[in-house]
Amino acid sequence: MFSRGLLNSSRFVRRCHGTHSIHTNHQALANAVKTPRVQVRLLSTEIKEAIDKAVESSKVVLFMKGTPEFPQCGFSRATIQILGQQGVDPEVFAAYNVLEDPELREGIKEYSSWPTIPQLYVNKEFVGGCDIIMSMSKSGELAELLESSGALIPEEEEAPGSADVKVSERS
Amino acid sequence: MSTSVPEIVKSSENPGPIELTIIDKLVSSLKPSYLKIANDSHKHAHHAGLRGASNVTESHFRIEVVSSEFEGKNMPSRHRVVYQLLDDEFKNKGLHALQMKTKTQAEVAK
Repeated sequence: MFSRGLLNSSRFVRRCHGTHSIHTNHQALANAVKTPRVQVRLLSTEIKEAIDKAVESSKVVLFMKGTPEFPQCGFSRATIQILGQQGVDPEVFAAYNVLEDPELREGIKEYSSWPTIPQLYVNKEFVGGCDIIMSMSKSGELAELLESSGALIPEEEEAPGSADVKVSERS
Repeated sequence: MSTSVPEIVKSSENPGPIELTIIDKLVSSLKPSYLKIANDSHKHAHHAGLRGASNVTESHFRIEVVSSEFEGKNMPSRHRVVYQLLDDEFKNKGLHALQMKTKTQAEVAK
């Protein structure tokens, strides 16, 4: 079960619940995306700007399948689990569900030059997919990166309502 | 000049066409000393991301590659090298996910 520790935090859930979706009216691209054989590498300015905004929307941004509460892919689930275990602060975390938005799903692949989901950004920098996150979490690099980026829950924080958050589970 | 023969571990005796292409491309471009490939497609055949997909038998692979081509490259760059080689498979052939362990000879020897 993934619903342990941090991920029980209602702030985390609320923060990511809406999984902001990217809306554009670019019909031409929408059509191109729906036609798999038209493999033109086009990432319209409009979509690129929308993704730019998404990437900038929080310190830690995850493009995933499903939502943090209900991941729809094992790799997205594993990534969410790791971020929770690392103690990522829900206040600085945003998740985008690519399954809700075909333009985002295709666009993010071009944007990152990365053909798979999930994709993690920290401070607007692309970090990697599930394998990289997993290996960085084992080596300690991920903790370092999140720490130095100010993305972790502050140590001394005892905000009301977060008493059930088991900070001690952080590795 | 003799080049060493790479050690290749396939997923089965009779790998499918996509797996064979993956092996071909990685071997010719990366000249790996070791390449292991496993097919995990059956574990994912029903998940949400594959709804409506025509290829569900060769969609998910797991590879381990040891190659000197990875020297001096960080992990995202290494994975991108592989992703770029398999661009056509991802875009047009229904390859969906690739778990990767990418190492250099020196890292394996450690």
